[in-house]
Amino acid sequence: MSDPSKPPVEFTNLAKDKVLHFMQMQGTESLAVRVQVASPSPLNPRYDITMIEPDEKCSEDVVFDGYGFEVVMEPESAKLLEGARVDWIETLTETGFKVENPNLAPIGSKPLEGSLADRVRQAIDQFVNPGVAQHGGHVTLVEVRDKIVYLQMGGGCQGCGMASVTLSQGIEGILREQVPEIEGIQDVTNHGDGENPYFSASK
Amino acid sequence: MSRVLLLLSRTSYRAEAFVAAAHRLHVDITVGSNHRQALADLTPGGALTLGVGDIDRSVASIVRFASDYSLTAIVAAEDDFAPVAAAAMVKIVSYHYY
Repeated sequence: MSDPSKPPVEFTNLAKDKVLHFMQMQGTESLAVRVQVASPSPLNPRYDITMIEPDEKCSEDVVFDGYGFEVVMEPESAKLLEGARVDWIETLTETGFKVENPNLAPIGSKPLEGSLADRVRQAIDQFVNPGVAQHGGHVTLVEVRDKIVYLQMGGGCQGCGMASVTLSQGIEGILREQVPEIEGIQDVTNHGDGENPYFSASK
Repeated sequence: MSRVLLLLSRTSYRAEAFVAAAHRLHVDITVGSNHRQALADLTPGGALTLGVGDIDRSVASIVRFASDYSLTAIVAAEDDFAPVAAAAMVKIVSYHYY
């Protein structure tokens, strides 16, 4: 944390009031709030926000005291939560604290940014690879040249009889939708190589 | 654009050639296969999973699919799928014209 006066995690006024309200209900103002990343999965990141007694803090914990209560985080969670925002929501379907964390935005929710190659790489990471990973495969960007995307397929995709289908029916459509500037996609995988290809290299 | 249902086995060596041919003919394709396609969830209409060796179930899946996505033709890339393609086409044609 570069600036100790700046909260590592921002509590909205509503969230802050809720914490203070819960503390009052507990009859004590010495409670602290532990914010923890329970699961950093980009598919569905989960967070735990709990009231703790002061003696439940550890010496390694990152502590911020600027809201009228202490915000306590394990060092690993503190790193993942830097810049996150805690809000309180009340809707018909859910009520509770909601964490908006730019570091762990769920897959598909991060806007693509940067150069053409960067955006293609982000689209592969966010949309393509989670899908092909279910089949034991992965896709890597080799290069973008003259708006043509050159890809390499690995794992279960390398040598798979359906690789061309995955490319033309899946990957190409996703990349063209996410990065409309691209003009073509080429698979430069050596499908005869790899650990267990369906096709062996021609002799 | 016309849409062709291409029936392929997961281990087919013909997939690349059939897909390339479809692109040259500028037809949309749906790949029907005995295994669930990678990225099928993200490409609606692009893939259809069929029962292995169960012609009736496969035909029913194709007829259901055809009610959402109009099919111009069903092409079996493998002999194993030829009865499915024929039976499904008969059902779809009967449904539309009789």
